[in-house]
Amino acid sequence: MAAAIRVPFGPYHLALEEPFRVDIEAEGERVREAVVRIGYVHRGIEWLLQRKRWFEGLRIVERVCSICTQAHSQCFAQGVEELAGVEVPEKAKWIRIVVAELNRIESHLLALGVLAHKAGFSTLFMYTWYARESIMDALETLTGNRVQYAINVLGGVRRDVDGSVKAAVEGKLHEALRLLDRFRRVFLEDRSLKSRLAGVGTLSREDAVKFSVVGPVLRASGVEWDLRRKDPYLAYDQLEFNVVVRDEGDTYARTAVRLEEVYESAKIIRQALCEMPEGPLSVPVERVPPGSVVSRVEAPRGELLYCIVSDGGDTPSRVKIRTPTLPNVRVLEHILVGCQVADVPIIIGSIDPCISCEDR
Amino acid sequence: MEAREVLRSLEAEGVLSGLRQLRPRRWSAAVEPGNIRRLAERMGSLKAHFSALTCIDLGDRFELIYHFDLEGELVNVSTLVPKALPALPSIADIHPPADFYEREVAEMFGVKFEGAPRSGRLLLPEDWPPGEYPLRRW
Repeated sequence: MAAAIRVPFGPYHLALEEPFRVDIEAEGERVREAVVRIGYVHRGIEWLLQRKRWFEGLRIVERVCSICTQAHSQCFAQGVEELAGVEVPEKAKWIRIVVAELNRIESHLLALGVLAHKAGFSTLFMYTWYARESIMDALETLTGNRVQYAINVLGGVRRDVDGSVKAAVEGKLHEALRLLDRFRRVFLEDRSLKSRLAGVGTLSREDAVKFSVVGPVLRASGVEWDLRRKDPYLAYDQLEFNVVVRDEGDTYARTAVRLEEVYESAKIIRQALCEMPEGPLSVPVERVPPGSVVSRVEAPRGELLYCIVSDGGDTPSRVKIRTPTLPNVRVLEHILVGCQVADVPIIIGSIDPCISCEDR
Repeated sequence: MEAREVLRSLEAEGVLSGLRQLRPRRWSAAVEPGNIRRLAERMGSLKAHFSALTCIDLGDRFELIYHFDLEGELVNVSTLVPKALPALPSIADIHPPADFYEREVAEMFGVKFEGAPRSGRLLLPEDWPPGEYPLRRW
């Protein structure tokens, strides 16, 4: 029997976009043990939030992560609004939904492109990111920003969406989906890509529940759990969409779930643009009384949880952020065991880790 | 079984106390530190989702909140430990993600989790001075 070798995978590695480390103990080509070490981009955001006023906090949480920025902003804002006893105007809710879903498409296309890149399919990577560019344009038209949208304010949104903006967003979305339609089949049916993804890094339904994983990783293991359905916020209970679930639990299933979720998000955006009511954009949030609240949203990577405590002052007294990548990266220690060393990058890519989120 | 019935039965067994529904899909309750493992085991057998572990510095005590999800019903179970002797039983063997959550609380607040399978740094650098806990307030 060959002796095991310890291979440090990261913190800086060709296959990683952000720094984190997996120490792999390999026996020949098989992984015998994997240990995850995080914290390389820990910025102390929870500490910082205790020292900034409520409205400043909203701008800081957006910077926890740029890929799921709208989810963080939404989660914090809805928690503070619940504490302050403020009901957000109807129109603002619908605008928030449109931005959140565009953000989800943008994030999923990024993840799909990165996965194609890790699988060695660079053309597909380029095409996916080309489609993503249209979504970024739509977000720029809608919010004025390509990355940190900053559309939310405490009590509503800061920018109106009128007919011409709706038409421009609709046009850009159509363009992105037209591009995606052309290579959807490649993701799902291409023989060489499928042989790279299918049966790799399998997570069973029981383990997915036991490890409390969230988001597309959980849904790809056959569990229908989406907070937009299970714990609806904004106006998600008035929208029609499917929760995409697959049973295989492997890298292929996780890719397919993300791909199909892009289409579901597009469905939501179209409904929201069409049914958006007219009315005011925001209401003032004057004081945040003492109390605590737990706020959850379905971020692109899964359940995002904020526990916000107020002592009635200008600043929060505690903000706890539990990002979706934290449980998802924990499960890597389980699913990497037994896989080929060459499959490690692609399995890491398939859980779509957002290290900035996770380290805070 | 409905989340409501599950929680009521846990209260009847004496695991939870002060069970309250704050609004639809939000529950709060308290648990004694000695009952945390029993609670975790019951939640584990119900296939509950362990969402997060929050620690709040209250001055002379820490409040730890275990967030469990039962099919969309979020239950926030809080427990208090004195700051002078901050120790709690670990539930990482029942809920594997608790391993990360407990280590985070341990290094940010200095709460010890007895019986935890792993300790050591999670977010802070290896050379962070021992005995310094960045999120302690007082």
